[in-house]
Amino acid sequence: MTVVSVAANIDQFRERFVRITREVGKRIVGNEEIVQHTVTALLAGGHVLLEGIPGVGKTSLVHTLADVLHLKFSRIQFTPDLMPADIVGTNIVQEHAHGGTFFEFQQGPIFANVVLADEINRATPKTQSALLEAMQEQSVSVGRTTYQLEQPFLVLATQNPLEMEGTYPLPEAQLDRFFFKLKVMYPAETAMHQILERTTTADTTPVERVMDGPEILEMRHVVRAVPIARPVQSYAIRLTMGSHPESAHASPLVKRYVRYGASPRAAQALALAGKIHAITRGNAFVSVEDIRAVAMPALRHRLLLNFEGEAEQVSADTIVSELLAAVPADAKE
Amino acid sequence: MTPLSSSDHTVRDLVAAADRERRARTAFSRVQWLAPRVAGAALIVAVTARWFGAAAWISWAAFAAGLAILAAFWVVSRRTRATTDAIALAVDTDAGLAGELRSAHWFEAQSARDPWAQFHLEHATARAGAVDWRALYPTSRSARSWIVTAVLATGVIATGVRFPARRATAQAATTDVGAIGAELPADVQARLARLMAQLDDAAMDPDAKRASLADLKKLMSSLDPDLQKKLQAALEKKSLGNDTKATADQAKADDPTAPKNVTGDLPDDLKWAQENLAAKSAEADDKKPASGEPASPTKSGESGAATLQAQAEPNGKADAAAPIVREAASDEEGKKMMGGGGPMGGDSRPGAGKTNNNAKGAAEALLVAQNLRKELLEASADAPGDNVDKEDLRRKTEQGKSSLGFTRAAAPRTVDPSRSAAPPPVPEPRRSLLFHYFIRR
Repeated sequence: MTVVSVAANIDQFRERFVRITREVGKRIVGNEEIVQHTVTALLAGGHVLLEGIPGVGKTSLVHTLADVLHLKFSRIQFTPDLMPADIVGTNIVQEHAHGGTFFEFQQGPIFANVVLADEINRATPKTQSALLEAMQEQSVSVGRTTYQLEQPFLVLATQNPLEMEGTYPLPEAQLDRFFFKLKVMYPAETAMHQILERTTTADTTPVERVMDGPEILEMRHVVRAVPIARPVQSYAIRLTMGSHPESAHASPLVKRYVRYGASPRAAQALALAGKIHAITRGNAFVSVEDIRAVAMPALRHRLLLNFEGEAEQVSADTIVSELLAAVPADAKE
Repeated sequence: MTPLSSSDHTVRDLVAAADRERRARTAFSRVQWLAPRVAGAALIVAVTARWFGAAAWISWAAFAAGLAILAAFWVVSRRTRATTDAIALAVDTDAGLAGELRSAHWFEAQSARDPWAQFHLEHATARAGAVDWRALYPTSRSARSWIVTAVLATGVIATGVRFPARRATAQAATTDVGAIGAELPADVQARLARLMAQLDDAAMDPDAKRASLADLKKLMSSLDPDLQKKLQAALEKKSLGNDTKATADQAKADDPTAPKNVTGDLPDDLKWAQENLAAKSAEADDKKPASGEPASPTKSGESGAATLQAQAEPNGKADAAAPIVREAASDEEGKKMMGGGGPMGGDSRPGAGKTNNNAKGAAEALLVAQNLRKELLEASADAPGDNVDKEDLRRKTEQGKSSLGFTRAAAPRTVDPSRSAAPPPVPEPRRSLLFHYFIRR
C-alpha cells in the first residue's frame, strides 16, 4: 500500500459510509446519529443494543439496514419461554433413505449476518447467555461441535426501558459485549411529518442494496489500518479508567454513584469507533475529538451504578458527560 | 526569521517554530507590561539615591539592570526549546488543526512508519506549513506603554545629570564654614574647630555641650560683625542652628531657675481640675483678709508669725495645727515631704514665699491631680489586693461554666428495645428499585 492508495482508501471508505447512511436514512427519519453509530458498530465488528420506547423505529432500522447491506437477516422475538436451542439451533433426528437414523444440526436464527434480538430483556438469563459466545467468539457450540458464524455478523438487540415487569435485565457480562448502546429518542415534529408522509401514503420508499458482505469486510480492514497516536490512545485509556471510582481520573459523580467502571472492551470500542469517526471525516489519524464523539454510546452501558445511584435514578449519560468534562485531553505528567 | 514552509521543515520543526512565536507573543506582552514599571522603579531608585547623596551612576546602573533583565527574559522566551505533546496540543488547538499536528508530532518521533502514518505526516506537514503563525500569534503593541517607559527613562537619566546629590550640598555648606574660618586668626580657628567638634559630638554630656555652646556664642560675639553674619549663615546651612536650638532648648529645660509648667504632662481634664482648684483656692485665700482675720504668715513675711497667730486663735484647733505642721516643714527635708502629696503640702516656711498663696493653691491642685492620676491608673489596671477588693466574679463564672460542662455530661443511657421505633417505610417510587436491586444479587 502506498501513500496514494491510502488517500484512495479514505475516499472510498467515506463514499461507502455515506452511501449506507443515506440509503438507510430514506426510511429512518430523524435518527441520523443512531444510523451512523449503528453502521459504525457494524464496521467495527461490534453489536448494538438499541433502547427506546415502542414505536420509535428500532426494528425498522434493523430491517432497513439488512435490506441496504444485502445481508442475511433473521429476527428473534425474545420471550420468557424462549430456550437457547431456539436461538442457536439443535440436533434433530433424520432418517436415511436406506434406513437408519442420524442427528442433523438444524441451524437456529443466530446463523445470519444481521440478527435482530427483539426485546432481549424478556428472555431468561439462560437464553440471553446463549448469545454470549455468538457475540464474542462469532461462533456457536452445540454438543461437541462448534459452528463458525458467517461474517459479517451483527447482533442488534432492542429493549424497552418502560415495561420492567416480567423482564430480566441483561447481566453485566452481556452488556459489556455490546459495542454501543444507542438510545432511540422520540422523533421531533418535523421528523414526524416525514414519517407520516412516508408510511401513510400509497407511495412506499424503496431502498437499494448498496453494499454486500465482502465490501463491509474490506471496510473493516481499512478501519484497523488507521493509525492512532499514543497520546490520543492514552486519552481513551484515561477515559476508561476514569469510570472506575477508585481511579485517580474519576470524577465526583463516578466516585459517588458508580460501583464498577468500564472494562478494557470499552477502551477497545473507543479506539475503534474513534478510528471510524476519524476516517469518515476524511482524516488518516485519530484525534481526541473523535474519541469524545463516540464516548457516550461506548461507555454508558458499561457503568454499573451502586445502590445510591440506582435509588436516586442517576443517569449513566450524566456521569459520562461529567467524565468527558473532567478528563483532560493531555496527560498531566 | 525565515518563513515556514512544508518542504524543508518537519512537523517537529513547525511545532517548535509555532511554539516560539506563541511564547514570543506572551513574552512581548509581559515585557510591554513590565517596561514602564521597571523604568518607574529605576526612577524611584534614582531619586532616592540622589536624596541620600549616592552617585548618579547607581541609578543608571539600576535602570540598566532592569533593561538587561527584560532583554534576557525576551531572549529566553524566544529561544527554541524541545517540543512536547502538551506544546503540540496547544499549538494544534490554536491553529485549529483538529488534532492532526499533535498526532503527527508523535508519529514523527517513531522509527517505524506504515503508509498510513507517512500519509498522515505529509498531510499534517502540509497543513501546518500553510498556517501563518505570525498572524496567528500577533504581538499587540501598546504605544502608551512605551511612551511612558521613555518618559520615565528620561527622568532617570535627568535625575542623575541635572540634580546634584543632597549630601553633596551639605558638604558644600561645610566647606563654606571652612572658607569663612580661613579668614580668622589661627588660634580662633583652632578654638572654633574645637567647639564645633564638641557640639557635633553626640555622646557629649549635655552640660558640657551647653558650656561649649556658651563659649561658641561668646567667641562669635567677639568676632567681627560681618564675620559673625557669615559664620551664622554657614552654621545655619549646616543645620547647626537646629542642633544649637535643640541644645539651647535642652539647657532651658534643665535650668532650675526657670519657671516650670507643672501641668505640662497632665491630661486635659486634670489640667482643668487643677486650674479650677487653684482658682478656687486663690479666691478663698483672697477672702480671708477681707473678713478681718489675722494675716497669714506668708503675708506677714515674718518668721514665727504663724505660731503667734495660732496662739491667738484658741477656737480653731485645725487652724492651730496647720501652722505647726508648716513650721515643722520649714526645713528643706520637711519641705520635700510636705510638698509632695499630703494635705498640708506647699512651702509653709514663714516668709519663705512671697507668692505663698498661689503656691499653696498649686500644691493642693497638684495633690488633687496626683489623686486623680492615681485613680486613673487604678481604673485602667485591675490589681487584685490593690484596687480590686472583690474577686473577679465574671471571669471565675466563665471558668466555672466550662468545668461544669464536663461535670454535667449526661450518663450513657441504656437502650430499651421495647421502645425502639420501626424503620421508616421505603418510599413507593423507590420500592421497585430496591426490590430489583436485591433480587439481582
